Amino acid sequence: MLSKMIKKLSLIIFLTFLFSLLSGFLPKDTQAMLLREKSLRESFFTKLIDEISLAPKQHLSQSIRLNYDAPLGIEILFRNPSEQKAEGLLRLRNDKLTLIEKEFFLESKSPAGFYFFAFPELKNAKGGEFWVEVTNLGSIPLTVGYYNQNVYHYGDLYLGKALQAGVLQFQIHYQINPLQKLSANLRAYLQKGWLFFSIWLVIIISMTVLVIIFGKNYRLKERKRDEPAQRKD
Amino acid sequence: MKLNHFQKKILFWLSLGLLVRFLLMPFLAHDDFFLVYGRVARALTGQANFLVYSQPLFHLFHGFGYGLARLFTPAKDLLDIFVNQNLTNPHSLKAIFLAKIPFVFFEYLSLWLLLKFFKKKDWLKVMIFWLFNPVNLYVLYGFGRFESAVVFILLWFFWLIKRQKLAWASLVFGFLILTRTFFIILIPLYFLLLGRSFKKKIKYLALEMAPFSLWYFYNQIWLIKPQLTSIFQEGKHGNYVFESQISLGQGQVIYLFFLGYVLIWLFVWFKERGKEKMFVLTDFLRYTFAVLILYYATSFFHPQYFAWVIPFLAFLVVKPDYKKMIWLLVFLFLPILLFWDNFTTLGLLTPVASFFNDFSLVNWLDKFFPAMKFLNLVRTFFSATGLYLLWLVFKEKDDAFKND
Repeated sequence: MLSKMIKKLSLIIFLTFLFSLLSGFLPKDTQAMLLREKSLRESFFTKLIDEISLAPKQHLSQSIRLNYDAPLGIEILFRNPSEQKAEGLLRLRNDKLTLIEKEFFLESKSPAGFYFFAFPELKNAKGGEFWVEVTNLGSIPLTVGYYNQNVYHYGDLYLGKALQAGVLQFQIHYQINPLQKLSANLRAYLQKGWLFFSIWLVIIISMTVLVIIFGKNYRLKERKRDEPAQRKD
Repeated sequence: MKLNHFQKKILFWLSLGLLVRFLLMPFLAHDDFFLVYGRVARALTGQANFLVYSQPLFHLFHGFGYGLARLFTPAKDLLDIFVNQNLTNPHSLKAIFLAKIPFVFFEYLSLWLLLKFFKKKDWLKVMIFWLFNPVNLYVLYGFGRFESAVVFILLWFFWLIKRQKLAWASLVFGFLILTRTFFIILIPLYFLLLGRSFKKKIKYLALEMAPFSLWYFYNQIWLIKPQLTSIFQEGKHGNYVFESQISLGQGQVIYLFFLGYVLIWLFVWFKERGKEKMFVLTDFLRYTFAVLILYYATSFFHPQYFAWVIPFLAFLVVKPDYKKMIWLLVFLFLPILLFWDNFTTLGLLTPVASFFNDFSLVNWLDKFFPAMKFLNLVRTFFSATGLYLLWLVFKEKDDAFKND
């Protein structure tokens, strides 16, 4: 005989699976497109992100301004479609000095991916202007992506690029004001997500009304209960 | 239907609690919230198997939230939000809100279950603590972790213990381990507490371990890349209990948490366990509480773990002697969040705008006082408060968790 507990347990498991199944039927093409990270990144690479193939010994650089005293590092998008290993050198420098140098290599046939370079040695970097420079040390082209997310570090993202012919150099066009970023973000939500906001507001207002109604009764009753006691006094 | 005064009071606090939750829900979330829902999305769309994830039941519970969000969000956008973590997607706030609805559901379900342990006169105190303590609000709706499901199973286990349905309780505890592996640490303790004869103890142990073992062997045998093995080998979260230690020199160390744990275990074995003693709910509550508090006091923990102790604190908060101490402990939890800087504080507002990721509260604090020193002082205060509470509970013995 099934006890109440088994019934409850079965109900919970059943509901979980039901929800799981309900949410499971997604269009196959959407799954294929969005869930395979590799192909996703590849598609970004070919459709949304431009890439540069650095010839041996060529380099490219981009200036960045760091927002923290001790940033964790940066991520750069690379891929290596060739059959051989690609080799490169990443430098972080300010106007005068090379602060950090890290050699790296990409395995043959590496799909597009973000490669993280940590800068644990970097201190007191806040507000400083730095250059990130990538040089091809190998004998085959080194493929570097340079979409918005090409060079960024935690907490800050710089947009814009200026490719100077010959030297392959990126520069910051503009720096986004944080307040502009906030207002732009909120505006976008209000414009596109207005339906959700309206429903959410209706829920909030209804809940507030409910709270006021119950709260009002709460106070009235408290007063009524106190009144006879005062009269007795 | 005419409501009496007491019912109106209850409804007032319940609806105020809901209002606060609905206000917070769409705007706050931590990276981990998306990480878990991302995994769930992969599992639900056939890209992965639920069972490859450690704590599979925990992931499975998120199926509720994903399903709910899916009902009102196009599949492509939902995947963009949870898998790609694209928070500029116009559906993101809605998806976050809907994905958190099950958190509320399980939190209220847990409250209902919790109230069953109390007499009516204490209901309001328990409710106010449950609904408005900063830990639940932060963990569930700020940080965005589904700890209400974990707490619900934990309370369900205690409910079965109260009714002396020990076999069922053991099985439910087994499911609890599949939601949060940490609870496996309680098994040696429950081996002493559950069952009087050795045969029964083995039976309960088998039931406790059954769900986890099945999952473990499934992982070992059927999956190419067993997750669990890597978890045990690499340590990761499981290593936190080994990190606080006293060095004895020559490479020998004593693990602080295990030192306390063994003391509790020995105390139960030699002092508490008479031949005829049947352990009751208060014993389970007291010793589970002791292990949890010992863990928080001596080891590094992620913010969401602290939600597990809230039901125990609810038992104590109704007692005047403990009330202030409990509220102090839960508020001391808040500054500890600064250890992760904006990752667990202002950065939680990233769903509103990535702008909030740009600030470092720790850097700002550093201007006035070395931030890490300050935070470690608060952490010490927190640990001391926890240990003092533990001492009080042990001193009182049965009375601390009794509601008669």
